[in-house]
Amino acid sequence: MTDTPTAPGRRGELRFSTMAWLLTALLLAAAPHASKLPIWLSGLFVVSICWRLAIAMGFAPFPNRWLLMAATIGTALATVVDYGMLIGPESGTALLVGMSGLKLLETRDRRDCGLAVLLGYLLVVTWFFHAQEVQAGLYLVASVTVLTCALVAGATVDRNATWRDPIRPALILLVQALPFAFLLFLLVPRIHGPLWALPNQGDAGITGIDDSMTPGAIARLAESSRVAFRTRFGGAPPGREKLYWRGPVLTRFDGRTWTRGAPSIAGSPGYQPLSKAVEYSVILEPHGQRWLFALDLPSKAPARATLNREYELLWQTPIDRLLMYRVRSHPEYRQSMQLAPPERASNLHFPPGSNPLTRNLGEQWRKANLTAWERVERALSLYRQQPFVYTLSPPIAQIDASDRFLFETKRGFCEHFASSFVLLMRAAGVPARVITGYQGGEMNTLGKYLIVRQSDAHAWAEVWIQDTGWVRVDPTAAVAPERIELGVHAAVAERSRMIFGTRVDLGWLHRVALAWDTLNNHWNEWVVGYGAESQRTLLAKLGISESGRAGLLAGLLLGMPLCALAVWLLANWCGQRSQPRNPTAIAYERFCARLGKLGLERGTAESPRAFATRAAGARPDLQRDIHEITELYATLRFAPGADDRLFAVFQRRVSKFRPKNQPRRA
Amino acid sequence: MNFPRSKTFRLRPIRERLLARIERWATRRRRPVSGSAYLDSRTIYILPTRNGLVFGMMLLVMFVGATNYANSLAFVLTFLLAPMGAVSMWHTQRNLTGLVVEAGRAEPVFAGQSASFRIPVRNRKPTARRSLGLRTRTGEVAHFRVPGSERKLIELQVQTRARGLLNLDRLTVFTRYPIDLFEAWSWIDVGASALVYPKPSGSHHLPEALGAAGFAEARACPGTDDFSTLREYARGDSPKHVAWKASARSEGLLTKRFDGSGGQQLLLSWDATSGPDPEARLSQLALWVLRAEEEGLRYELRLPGVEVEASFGRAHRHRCLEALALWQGSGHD
Repeated sequence: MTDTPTAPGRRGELRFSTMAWLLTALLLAAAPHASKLPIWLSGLFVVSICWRLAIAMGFAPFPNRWLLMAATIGTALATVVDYGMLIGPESGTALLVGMSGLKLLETRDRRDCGLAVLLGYLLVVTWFFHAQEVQAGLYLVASVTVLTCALVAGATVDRNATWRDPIRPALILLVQALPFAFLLFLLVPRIHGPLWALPNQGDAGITGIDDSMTPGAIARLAESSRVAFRTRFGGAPPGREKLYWRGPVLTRFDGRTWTRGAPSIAGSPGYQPLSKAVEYSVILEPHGQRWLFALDLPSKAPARATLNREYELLWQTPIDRLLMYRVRSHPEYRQSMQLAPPERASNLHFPPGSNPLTRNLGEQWRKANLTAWERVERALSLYRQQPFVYTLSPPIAQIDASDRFLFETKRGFCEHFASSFVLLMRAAGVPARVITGYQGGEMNTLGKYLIVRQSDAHAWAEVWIQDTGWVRVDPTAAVAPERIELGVHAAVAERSRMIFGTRVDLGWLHRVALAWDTLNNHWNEWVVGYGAESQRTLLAKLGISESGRAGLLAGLLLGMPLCALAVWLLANWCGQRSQPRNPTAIAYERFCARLGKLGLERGTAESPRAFATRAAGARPDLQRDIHEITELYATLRFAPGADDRLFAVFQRRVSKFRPKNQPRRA
Repeated sequence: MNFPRSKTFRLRPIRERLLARIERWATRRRRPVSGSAYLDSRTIYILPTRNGLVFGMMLLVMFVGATNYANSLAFVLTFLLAPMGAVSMWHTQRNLTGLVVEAGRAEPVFAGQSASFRIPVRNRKPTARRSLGLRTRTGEVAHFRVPGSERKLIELQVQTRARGLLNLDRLTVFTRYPIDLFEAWSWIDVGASALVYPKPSGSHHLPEALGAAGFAEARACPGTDDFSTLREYARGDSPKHVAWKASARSEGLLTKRFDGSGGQQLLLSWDATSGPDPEARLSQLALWVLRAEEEGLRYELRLPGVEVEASFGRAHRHRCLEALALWQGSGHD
């Protein structure tokens, strides 16, 4: 259908309350973007809002068409200059913010108002490129509610509508949509991978464990209470001392920095499990690199990840969004494979010229003709017997760090222990390497899952023993066993015990923080992390096959409206059987009830006029009132064109009609 | 339908043609009814509006984006908005069901003025019906709301152009409530009509030479006290005829009455007018009727085939103007 110029809603000004809803909604939708946008764009948006407000209040005119066009082209050009392109999530969002501001300045009628609200919905959805945590969910709820109110306000053409009117219909619409939204979210098939290639969208950059280790790197991480990942165990969690979350394996040492070795052969060599498997799911925060963390030792890679010869789990692409995966590990194992000569060589490599004292000590042990295990024991007893101190702020040496640590300062963090231990072993002729990752984690008893933070970052060692394979050795545990048993904050006395910015010893505050983290974890598991993988798992748990899913979705989506329709038809049918309650009928019933009190009941099939004649016969003193009220009633109900004034007269007559019980004597 | 066409939106002519076809099909067996029309799901039609189409496209973009970026919250928003749009369709349709539109009435007007139809709309459901509109074929719109179980008189202004009987044979009741993604409408054939008098125009001088012998005498009346009786002032009386002196002595205003004193009467005849355009001649006669009534004269109207006997007063004026409005022309015309 078409609108015409005479329709007040089309050309006429929008009501002030509609404009107020629209401006509030767009301001709310655009507000979080301000933190990511160039300042001139936020300024442009705010100016547009203020100008439109001034127009609505009658202080300012609409801008000239040429001015608007110039502003539009200018915004597009400035976006290109600022971002280098127009296509892409970042610049597209910037352009959208600018355009929705300018759109407001040409919003004259309710149709434009509707389009502006639709732009607002797009503003909301583009924010989710940047954030998807619980706060983003709250923002979704708030902004969509206000936007929908604005949409209702724009579609309301009653002249006497108030600003409060849109709230109820908007909430009703959203609440009615919720069950459908829930089903669609759970059941609409999700696909793996993008439809087209994307530029990296992670704006967090690289965080957490790096693929190299220089002195002081892990100590810096230990000061951050940011969550690295959360994990939920299928059964009872293993003991804390077994929670070694394996990350990058570092084999190459250049005298100062440990890095990963040559790209290794894909496919794990396999191992012989010596204990029961532990199953768990991990929700990994984006860290911008490829590795996944799994307990020593993972047996099988999750879909789209690979397990290599070093037992590193690698994702296909750098992880730039929240990732949920399931792994199975065996904490006790034995490896039966042989170490290939080049592999052996790279794990024995000691850069010539560096750390001469360390090399000397190791070589003494090799010449002493000890077994590999005895050499390991020698090194560990060195850490135990001499006054080594585990500290977060060790003195940092740039050259020969291992020598300085072992023979001078004796103060170090886990990376110093691991690095010096591996060098000692290599000098002693035992193949060894550094493993980085996380150790431990905090059990959230409320949500029954483990939180692993950046402060749990750790480095340990692995040595190669004939017939046993790679064996984990943690030299830090020799010096500070409480690091493994209780965590870094228990082991390092000099730091204040801050987690989430709250002191661990302030019990209730910490409990609040844990409750908040539990909420975040549920949100991550069920909303943000819900994808193709978790969809399959959930449906399998519910006993629905892949092929049954389409049928189920179709059935539910069709079935729910059909049920609603049935209920509605039933309600309509019942409603039509009872008399429609209109005010005329209500007033007439009141009149009949008053006569009823005098003993004059109206029969069910008696017409109003027949009843009036009978009642007037019984009470001649009320004759005039009875007949006149009945005539008014008949006119109002059955004559077309009767108006409101007549109804007012009728209602007044009925109200005044209060017959006494005893007929008056004439 | 002479709706103004937008140059910017190409879909509109297609849409209009489609709607005209639907209308012909939907109402092929209808006859205009006097009385009332009840709206139920069989007579209500619904289509997406332009905003509704844009909304659909927006959802598609959101869905593709959400899939591509595997963005869960984008999925949440898409899957919330899509059923909201669908639910709104049901609300839009329901906003019309249970309404009863009755035959309206309008006071006679002169051609060129707008006729004000008062159309009763009853809401048989207990919930209020909001943001409704009534539209005529010529595009006049009245917006209104009807509270639950109530009856409202909706005033619909219709621009008149030519004299005669203006039939409001087909009305469209429509609504886009609550979110303007769909428009539901129904065609209503209630027999309502307004009488449109010819537009008064031409010479203000009453015909002197023709018909009335005592006209000059009658014309002189307003300056003198030569009137027959006094009556109570009624709305519409010319202030020139108010007997101010007499009124000062009595309680209310009094108007002088010149009911044919001396037996003079004016003959307003088709033959006294001239010109090629019969409409212009009718307009001249209409103007004379108004003038004569204003002057308080008795007058008689003679049209080819129609005669209204000499009299005066509001009822007589209406009879004359009605005759002028409905005159169909004589045999030789």
